[in-house]
Amino acid sequence: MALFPFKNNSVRLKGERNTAGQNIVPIALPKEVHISMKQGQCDAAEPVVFVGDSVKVGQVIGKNLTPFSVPVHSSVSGTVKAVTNEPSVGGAFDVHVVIECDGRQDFAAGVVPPSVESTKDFINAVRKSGLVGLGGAGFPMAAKFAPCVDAEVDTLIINGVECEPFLTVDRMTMIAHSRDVISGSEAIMKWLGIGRCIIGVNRSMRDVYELFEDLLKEKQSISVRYVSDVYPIGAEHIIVRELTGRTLLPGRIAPDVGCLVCNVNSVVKLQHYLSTGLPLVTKNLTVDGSAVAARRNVEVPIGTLIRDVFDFCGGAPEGHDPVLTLLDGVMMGKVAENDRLPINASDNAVLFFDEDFARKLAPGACINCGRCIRCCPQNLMPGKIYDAVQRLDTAFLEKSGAGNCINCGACSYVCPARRRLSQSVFRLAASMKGGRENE
Amino acid sequence: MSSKNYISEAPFIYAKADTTSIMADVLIALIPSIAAGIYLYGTSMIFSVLVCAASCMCFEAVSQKLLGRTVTVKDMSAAVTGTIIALNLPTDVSPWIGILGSFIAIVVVKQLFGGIGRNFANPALVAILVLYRSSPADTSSWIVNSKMIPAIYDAANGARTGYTVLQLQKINGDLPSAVQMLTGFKNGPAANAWAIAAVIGGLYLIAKKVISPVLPAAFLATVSIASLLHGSNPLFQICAGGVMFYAFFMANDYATMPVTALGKIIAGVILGIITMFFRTYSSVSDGIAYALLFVNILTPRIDAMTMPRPFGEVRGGKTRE
Repeated sequence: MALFPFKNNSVRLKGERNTAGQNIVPIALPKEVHISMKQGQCDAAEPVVFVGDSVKVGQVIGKNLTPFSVPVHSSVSGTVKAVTNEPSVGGAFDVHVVIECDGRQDFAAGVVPPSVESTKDFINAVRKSGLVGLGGAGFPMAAKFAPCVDAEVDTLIINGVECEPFLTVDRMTMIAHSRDVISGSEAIMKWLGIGRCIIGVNRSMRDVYELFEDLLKEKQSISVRYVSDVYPIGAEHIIVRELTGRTLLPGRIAPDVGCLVCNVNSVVKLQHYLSTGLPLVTKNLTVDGSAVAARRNVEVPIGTLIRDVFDFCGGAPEGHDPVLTLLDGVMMGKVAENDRLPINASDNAVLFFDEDFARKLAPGACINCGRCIRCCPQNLMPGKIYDAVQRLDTAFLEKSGAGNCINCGACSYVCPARRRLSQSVFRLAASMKGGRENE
Repeated sequence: MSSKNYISEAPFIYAKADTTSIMADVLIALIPSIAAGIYLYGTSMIFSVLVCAASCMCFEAVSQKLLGRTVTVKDMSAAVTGTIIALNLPTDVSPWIGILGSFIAIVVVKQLFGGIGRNFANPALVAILVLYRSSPADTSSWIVNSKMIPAIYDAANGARTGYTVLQLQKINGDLPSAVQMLTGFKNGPAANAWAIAAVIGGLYLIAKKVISPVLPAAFLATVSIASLLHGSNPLFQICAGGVMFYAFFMANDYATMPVTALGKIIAGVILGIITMFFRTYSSVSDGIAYALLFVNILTPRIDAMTMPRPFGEVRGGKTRE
């Protein structure tokens, strides 16, 4: 490590967390679910059921055809009503399997604990579980684990950091399933040959830290560590640096520096699969915001429509109709264009906001204060990049490093002129990356 | 449920500080300096602040309207400029001089160069310099009264106006002690009258994270070291003239000073060296203003030199780790 380790810049967010301490409750079974064949940043699965088929919980309804896709399982028991192309968040269209629930929630015959006797079995089991990274990226877990078999990975990092405001679901999962977090981590360590495991939690999660400290007294190889309450400390390369001091350069993956990073929810679901054989069929969510009556943490069958979650949480309080619905947090989440979109595995929250919150703030002129530069975790100059985009200064953009933007939104958050910096910089970053790949 | 007229892309929350709150903080930080001016010169101080601030705001609104821009007079940046101009002029000067200064600052330097954040030099600074040069007799007769440090009062010898401490130093007059310089009142612009006022305001801005302490520290350190090398008392030099006010206010103008910490250090050091150069080797009485103007013009170069290296980007064979 360098004498003066370079710290990634960060920002302290002033956000609410109204659901802290709200236990995760299962939602009332919806009438129908719309299960997307694309549960995260992965290739879409191929539907293997037809209209009229009756399906059970945990039954495969979508087959994985490529290494970067995962099998999709039915989250309910019932009858397939449609296999159709429907809009997803962001305007794209995906194949959804619409299942009408019969309310019995019978398990499929295949739901039995997998027998795991070798690393290969383990990776296969992970693939069969349909798990994608539940922290938000939605990368297939099996594809994430596979490189660790050959690479020399010595540290497993369990990412319990929740730096987005409003979200408390990871924290509540760690409290409710602390033993599963530990046994899941042990399974990963055992089959991938990883020597140590660090569970990273926010400094504000004192109860979680103490809980784990207590449970881990006997265990030498697993430890729990605090990271500071700044944003975006949960980003993979930043938590790797915080907990191990290693630098994960852009374009590399964590196993290159001997680390494997897993979200706590993913580990819990993995442990559930290993012990019961129930694949990824439910997702824990935070429901919060100014336009929902009961702010709580819920467990929903994957494919539940936003509308059903909203109704379960008591609808809108008097005079606060939701005009802005977000999937995931306020810093990186996406606008849900309507309430008939389904919940996917990679979503961590549904937030409903009223008009007061959602009103667009008019951007002003840059006053050159430098706040965006001081908060950028990637050490970019967001304001200058934004200006260069406006005047099409390609020479500056080339050397600006804009391609490294991780779209954390910190620059837009701090901008006193309310300029929408990260949006512009990230779009540029995406186009630069696209350009590089085409070369 | 439609999200059409609302924010459509993350992030959906914002930090509290916006342009208006930052400018309001600067105005609050200027209160001690205004108070010192009122103590020394009476209510004429209030009058000149009001004249300059109001005329700056009017010029801003009218010029933005004429140039077809959004009128942003509510962000209070024009009020800050006007207050700083007033604090750098004698309080008994004709209001027309203040209004002329406001015109130069807002219309010529700020709006004609593109509005807030795009001006090449600090608007208030250019206005003050133009007024100092165009009507030197009106803008350099600093009233002396008995509330001031005895050495200054005595040197004036009963006259209405007298030498400032820097002028006394140049003509080898009796100089006040360092403690008197720090705590006592001096003649000259209200901004420079009481060194402690600028420090209080500056600490407020640092505490509110409106300015970073890097540039004031680099500037004051450079002035101190240069005066030690020259053989004069560093405390005298940093309390004399406008050093304190420039360190905490003028030299922290966002638009015209470097944005990175390294850039701020470079700018502070250059500003300190040129200021001391003027003080020691030249007969110009407001060398610090010229020094700052020079640094303003140098700023784009400093910014280009001190661009941060993006995380993980390789430049010159070295990787930022």
